[in-house]
Amino acid sequence: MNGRVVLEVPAKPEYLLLARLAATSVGRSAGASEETIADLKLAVTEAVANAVKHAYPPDVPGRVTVELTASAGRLEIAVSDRGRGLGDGDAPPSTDRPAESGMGLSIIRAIADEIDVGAGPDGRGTRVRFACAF
Amino acid sequence: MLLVAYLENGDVHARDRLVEELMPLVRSLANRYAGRGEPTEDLVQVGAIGLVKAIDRFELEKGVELSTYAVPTIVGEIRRHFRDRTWGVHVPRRLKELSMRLSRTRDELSAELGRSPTVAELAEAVGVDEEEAIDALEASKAYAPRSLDQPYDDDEPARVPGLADEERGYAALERGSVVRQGLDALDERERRIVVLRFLRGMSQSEIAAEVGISQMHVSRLLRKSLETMRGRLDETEVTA
Repeated sequence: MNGRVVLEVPAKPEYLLLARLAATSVGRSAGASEETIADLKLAVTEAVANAVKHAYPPDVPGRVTVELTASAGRLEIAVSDRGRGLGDGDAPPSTDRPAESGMGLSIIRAIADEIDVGAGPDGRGTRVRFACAF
Repeated sequence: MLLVAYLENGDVHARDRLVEELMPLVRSLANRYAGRGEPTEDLVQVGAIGLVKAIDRFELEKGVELSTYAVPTIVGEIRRHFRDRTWGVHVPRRLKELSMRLSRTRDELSAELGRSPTVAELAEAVGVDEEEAIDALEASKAYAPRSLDQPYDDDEPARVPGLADEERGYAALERGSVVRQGLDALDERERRIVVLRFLRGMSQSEIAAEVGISQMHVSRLLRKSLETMRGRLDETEVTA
């Protein structure tokens, strides 16, 4: 079954749970195992949390888009924002606590079969795209 | 409580603090697997992923301690790391799991029947169709494949014992796999020789007879092909 869900939420931690719910329902309707769905929820959490944490300066409202696409035996997820992006030197990601900065991507890397990090759709912000085969 | 903050409010900061608090548990579990060929620090890293997964899946109503709940997940992740390290090329997890099930079932059936089971018997016992069983069996040839760096002048058959040996050729290799990309860099005859050597496990002399050239020529073509494949794979790595 092919299915595509696009979710756009404010870049705030309280919307993480919504992204997790979307991952669960897209995964279930695609016929993924509970194990794969649990992994997927975690990966989505990391990607959205990264965007919430790093994309926009504090107190500047912004939005995060989560696209979930299911096709035969494969789930693809793209999380994008229109924030300051990767190349911006004036706001380096905090590296004082490894659990906070490096963890997100390495968790996604450990879970997903493919991962690709780049600029957002129109060259602004950041987009993290990953896929799980099941 | 940190756990509640994460599970009910999606507070990732709280989750990360919890991870830090429980890292000593991960370290002590990782140490149990030290000295088995993988750097302890790598084991701690994958163990930490297991911990994060455990926290992510924890249900507050379960009535067990998080640390108790997390131990099997952490250990599972470390064990999986060891298993994955012996899968030389990328194979989707569905095929990995199926191929492990097939391999267990093959052992059981062999004992029961007093001979190797056919693909049809194996597929039926595991409850998948034959096509899927063949895919998984082919994929399992990627399990600890003979290294591209291993000397290839040895004239020993490289057959993996007990595997179904139908001629499926490189077409059966998982599409998009690294090996497939390497094979694409070869011409028709080189590709055939590499497939015969490493997938069919034929010796250089057997290949020479089959292709109709001398064993020396096979040896030269193999060397050249592997260099070409390595070149292609290096390129792929740089662009990946």
